[in-house]
Amino acid sequence: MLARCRRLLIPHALLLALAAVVLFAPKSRPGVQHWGAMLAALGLMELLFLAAVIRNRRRGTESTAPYDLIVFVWVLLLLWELYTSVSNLAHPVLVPAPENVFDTFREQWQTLLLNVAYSMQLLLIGFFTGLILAVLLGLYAGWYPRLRAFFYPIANVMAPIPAVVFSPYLVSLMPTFRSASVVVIVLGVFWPTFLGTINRVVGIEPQILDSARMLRPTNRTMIWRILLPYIIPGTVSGLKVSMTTSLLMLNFAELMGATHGMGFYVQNSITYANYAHAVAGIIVIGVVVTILNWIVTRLQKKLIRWH
Amino acid sequence: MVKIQLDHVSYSYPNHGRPAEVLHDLNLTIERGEFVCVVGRSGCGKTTLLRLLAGLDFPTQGTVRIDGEPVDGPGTDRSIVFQSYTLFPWMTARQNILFGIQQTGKWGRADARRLADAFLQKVELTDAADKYPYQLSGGMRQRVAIARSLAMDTEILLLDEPFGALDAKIRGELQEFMDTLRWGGGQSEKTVVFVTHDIDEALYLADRIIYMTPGRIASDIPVPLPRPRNRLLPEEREQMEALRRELLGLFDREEGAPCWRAAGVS
Repeated sequence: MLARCRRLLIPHALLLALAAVVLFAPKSRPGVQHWGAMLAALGLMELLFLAAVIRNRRRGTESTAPYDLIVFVWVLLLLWELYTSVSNLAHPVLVPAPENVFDTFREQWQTLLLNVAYSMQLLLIGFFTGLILAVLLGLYAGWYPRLRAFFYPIANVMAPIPAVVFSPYLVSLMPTFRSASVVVIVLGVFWPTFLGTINRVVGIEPQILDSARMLRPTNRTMIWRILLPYIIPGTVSGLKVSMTTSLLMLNFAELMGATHGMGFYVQNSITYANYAHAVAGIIVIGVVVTILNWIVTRLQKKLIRWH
Repeated sequence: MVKIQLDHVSYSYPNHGRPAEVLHDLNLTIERGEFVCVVGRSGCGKTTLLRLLAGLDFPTQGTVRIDGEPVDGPGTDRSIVFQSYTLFPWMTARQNILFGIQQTGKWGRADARRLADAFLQKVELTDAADKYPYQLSGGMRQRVAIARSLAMDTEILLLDEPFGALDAKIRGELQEFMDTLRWGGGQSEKTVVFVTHDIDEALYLADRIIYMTPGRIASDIPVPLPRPRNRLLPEEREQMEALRRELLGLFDREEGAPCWRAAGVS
């Protein structure tokens, strides 16, 4: 009990110190925004931390991760605050004050949300198109030897080429930027997943294949009732990586010629030397990635009940 | 009536360019309704023999005939139970059985479901019907696999050391279960080929024991004991002991047989 209290003590002492500095320390840097948004963000992080602690306790696990992480975050913010707003030691333009970064969320939330929605739309369309196509074609190409012999060498050449390499070309080739980004994502997801699906089908456990063959399935039954469920676990565990790669490719594509989107927002902010906005945009991308990963993990548990 | 017939069957697979012979000129006739156990050391070709009967592999020479027709692949007149992994991990116990039944194409949806439930009850797994294989113990899994085989109502049942990976107690229960299913359930029209390396298991279950040395059938021993075999009379028990000694003698006499070198083939 005592140890637990002590563990809670350090993060909260740090939080109090941080809040005190933000509220009361004299600021030597000019142009520091109001502290309201920053304190709200701190409160939100504190709530997330407490939720993690409670969940920890409920499950009876003694993970140190929430404590260590929150201490890290508080220390980081404290140093940032001292280094910029309070002492003004850092470059006044290149390193924005935390107050200004957090204030961006308040001031620009509509713009940020719009850009997130825009990116998400492209990401999800491209991601699911690529995934579904790759799994379907991969199943057929894996099962029929003739298709496999044809597609396997092609997939082996295409899969390792990073789709971002195409993106400048595709941006000029495709009629709109939207279609170009979707194609980049589709390509980036398709080839690795396609190759992976073929490999998984070819590498099916011989015992399962024999059991299936003894039941004389038609090709259709084989593909839909045996091979598809067989490859799902492997495919889903690859989802996290491919989801992150797609976001990466999208953000990269958005750096050139986009008019909306998260990557565009960051790029645009940097162009106008508004580094507070740029940092805020990067944080938003981090939050989006975290949420996507969380969704994929939930999906994994829902989809694969037989493990 | 002859159910299964092997004529001069040989099987070899290419091994670094040179063919490695697993079965050499096998001749065997199995009558309809016979329960045949195939015993022998590991690597003697028992499993290969079973795979040829299943239609999963084909003889390099000779023919395997079922009901007089050469085997041209797996068929729904045969079902198989492997030592492990016979069930599909993504289907529940009931779904596994149901899938087997549906594949035979003999029953409609409602009948298939009723049949699946009936067989789940027969193997005493009604409570586990909606569990996935990973949630079942090894013994329960094998019971489901056997239930699927039986529910498919195939004329031939092929079993490849189905109880090999189980502990002694569960193994004994399942052997007893096989016995009651067969002799208590009136299913003696089924022809069973049961591969094992356990002499006692063979003596308990078989009408006839085929003893294999690498690639060959060395002995063909009838087991004329009444059933159920756990309730034998003293003189019958003696007869069983004599058979056991005979089989043990066969195992002992086989010396220097390089079975273990034929890795991957048992």
